[in-house]
Amino acid sequence: MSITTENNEKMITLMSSDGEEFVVEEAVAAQSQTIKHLIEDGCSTEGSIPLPNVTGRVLSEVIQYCKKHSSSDDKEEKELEAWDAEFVKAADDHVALTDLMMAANFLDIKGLLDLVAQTLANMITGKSPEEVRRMWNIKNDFTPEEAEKVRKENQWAFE
Amino acid sequence: MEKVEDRIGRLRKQARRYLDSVKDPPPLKGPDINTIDTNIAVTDRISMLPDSVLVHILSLLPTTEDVLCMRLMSRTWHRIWSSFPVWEYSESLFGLSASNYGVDPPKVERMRELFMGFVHRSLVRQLQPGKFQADKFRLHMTFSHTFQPTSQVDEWMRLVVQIGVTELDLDIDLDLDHRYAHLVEHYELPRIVFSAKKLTVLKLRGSGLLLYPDLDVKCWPCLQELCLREAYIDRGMILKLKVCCPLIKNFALVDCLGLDRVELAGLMKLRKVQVIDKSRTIMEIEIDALSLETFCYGYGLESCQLSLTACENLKVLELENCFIGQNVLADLLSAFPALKKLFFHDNSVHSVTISGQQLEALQLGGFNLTEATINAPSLQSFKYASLKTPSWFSVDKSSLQKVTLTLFSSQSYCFAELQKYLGNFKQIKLLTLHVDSDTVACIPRGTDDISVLCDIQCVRLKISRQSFGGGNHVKRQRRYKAFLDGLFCTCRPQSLLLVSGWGSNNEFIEFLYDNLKHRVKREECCMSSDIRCWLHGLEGIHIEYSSGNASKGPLSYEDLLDLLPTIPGKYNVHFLFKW
Repeated sequence: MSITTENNEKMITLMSSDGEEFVVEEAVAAQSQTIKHLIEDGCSTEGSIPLPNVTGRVLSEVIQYCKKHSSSDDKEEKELEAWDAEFVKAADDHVALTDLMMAANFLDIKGLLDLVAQTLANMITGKSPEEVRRMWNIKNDFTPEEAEKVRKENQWAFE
Repeated sequence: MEKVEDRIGRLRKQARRYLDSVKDPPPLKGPDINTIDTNIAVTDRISMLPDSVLVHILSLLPTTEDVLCMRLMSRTWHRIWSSFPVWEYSESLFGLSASNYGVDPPKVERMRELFMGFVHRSLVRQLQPGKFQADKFRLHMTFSHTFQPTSQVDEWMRLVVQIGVTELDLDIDLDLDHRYAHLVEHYELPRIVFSAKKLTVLKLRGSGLLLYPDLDVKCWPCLQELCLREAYIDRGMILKLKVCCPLIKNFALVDCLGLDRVELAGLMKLRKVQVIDKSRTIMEIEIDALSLETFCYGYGLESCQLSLTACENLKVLELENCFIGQNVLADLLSAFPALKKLFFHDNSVHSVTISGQQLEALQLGGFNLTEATINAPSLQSFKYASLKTPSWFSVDKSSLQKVTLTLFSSQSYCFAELQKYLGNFKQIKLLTLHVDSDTVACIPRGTDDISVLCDIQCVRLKISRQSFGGGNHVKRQRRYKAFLDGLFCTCRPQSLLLVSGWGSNNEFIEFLYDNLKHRVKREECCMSSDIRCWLHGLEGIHIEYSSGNASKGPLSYEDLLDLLPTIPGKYNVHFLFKW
């Protein structure tokens, strides 16, 4: 289903995993390589494009990002950077960031992928393993023997 | 009245809230069974991301140490790590450095073996099918008279070329022990590196490196950045750059040996050239490149000839710690009509005249400089760095927006002199003071003739650990007071911004705070002092904090003192004044 607005912009409809529909300009959605390919393959003519891996909440954020980045080709880079910083800050915690990362990976949006990966990397930079584990709820699933082995491997680095 | 305990409790809460609001990441949530949303809180979402994404995250960590730390996390991360291409190999990661080679030989021996094995295994692993390959390779190690693994490093270079890296950064030092220096052979860059066709960035650094004079034709067809540092280079190599790497954009030659002449011509893309010559061997620099935008030269011979013909598009010229002289400078400036930025730090001139129609930023300095005439109608930013303020000064001020003055240490801040200098720039809005001397401020007695510079709106103070010197608490307090009196007699800024590390200037902030807080109680101070009391001119104060571009938030006196010891280094504090 493709609609055309008064600006002659081609619109397409995206459907999230929980059935929410979003109507966006094709140029905005096409920042996702995945969607771009789906459009090229003619998947958009028969109705909305289903995105089974992305919930409505996350999709609305992704669209927000794509809108900003499609409309601001000639805008100041700095302004865009500041906007990006606010955008990831609004994602609040690592759970929300992980969802965003999943979506960016599935939809194949390079800019967003880089942005979120950098944010996650910043979170762990300079932290001890124990701090990172607590922060991201990573379960230490090494057996005592394995743990000892890995610790030994790393020892030279922390001497 | 609020009870003391209650107040402390309230402040603690405020402090915690404040820290939570400024600290990223959000407060740590342990796997606490009492947490209401246990399910969400204890699920490890990150590790469920696809491997490629996790590798991506690892690749963004700034140091190999951070990467190594992640493999202690869990089986998932250990698996990811084992497929992750490390790209930075530094012997310092193994506690090795040129200075500790003689300390504990058996341990050094062991660490070296570990390091060599680590690099080798990691490179070999990258070449296995299905493994991620790094696009960069950085190696830092030291050769000594007992340790010259030339063939091993040659083998690594072969692997690196096979992997197809685009960035190669090689840093080979020589052991600092001069007794054996003559026994250590240089490491000669193997021929295989010249066949690395994909290279876009090549950085070669280290006293232990020797470069082949005869490069193959078109050996690095994609190379854009070439940085040679402390290496021994043959003049023939520089001449061949034109045919070997025609796309070169940035070229840096820092403290290299073996060159007396640098000649760069026929490089169509050349944008930036940097020549730093602390070894003082280069007699002549000749560059012919219409595309050149930036040229930096520093620390060379007094007699070095600079010839930059056909570089009329030059926008940035930096001459650092050199002996160019007024005449050569004038010739250079007339050859660059589009020059926007000039950094001129010359130790030979007493008097300098600078003209430039397009000049927007100027930084001047020099140990002997006393007179400056500046004719630059577009000048927006002006920096002056020296031992003292110049005795005579003329500058076109119409478009000036930012002026910085840096006085080097051992010189006291004489506010009267400072004021005279600042008087040259009526419209200064921002004043930055680096305080790094121990004798600060001398306001002469009878200061009625000094008028307060009203235009200055903001003062940025950079205070280091050495500021205000050592001595006991009382001595420092006296210096703080003298400094503040001097500062506020010179100007009445609307805001005072304290940048740089917390901890180093806590005492100063506390002193300032104390003075501001109790200012009302000192009605009598004006009677006894010659100095016009700035405290009485002050009507209100407001304190804010900020971090980089992040938003500011208000801070009360009590919070400030409470938080002072715990705030991380990147935060600034503003005092906003109403006079």
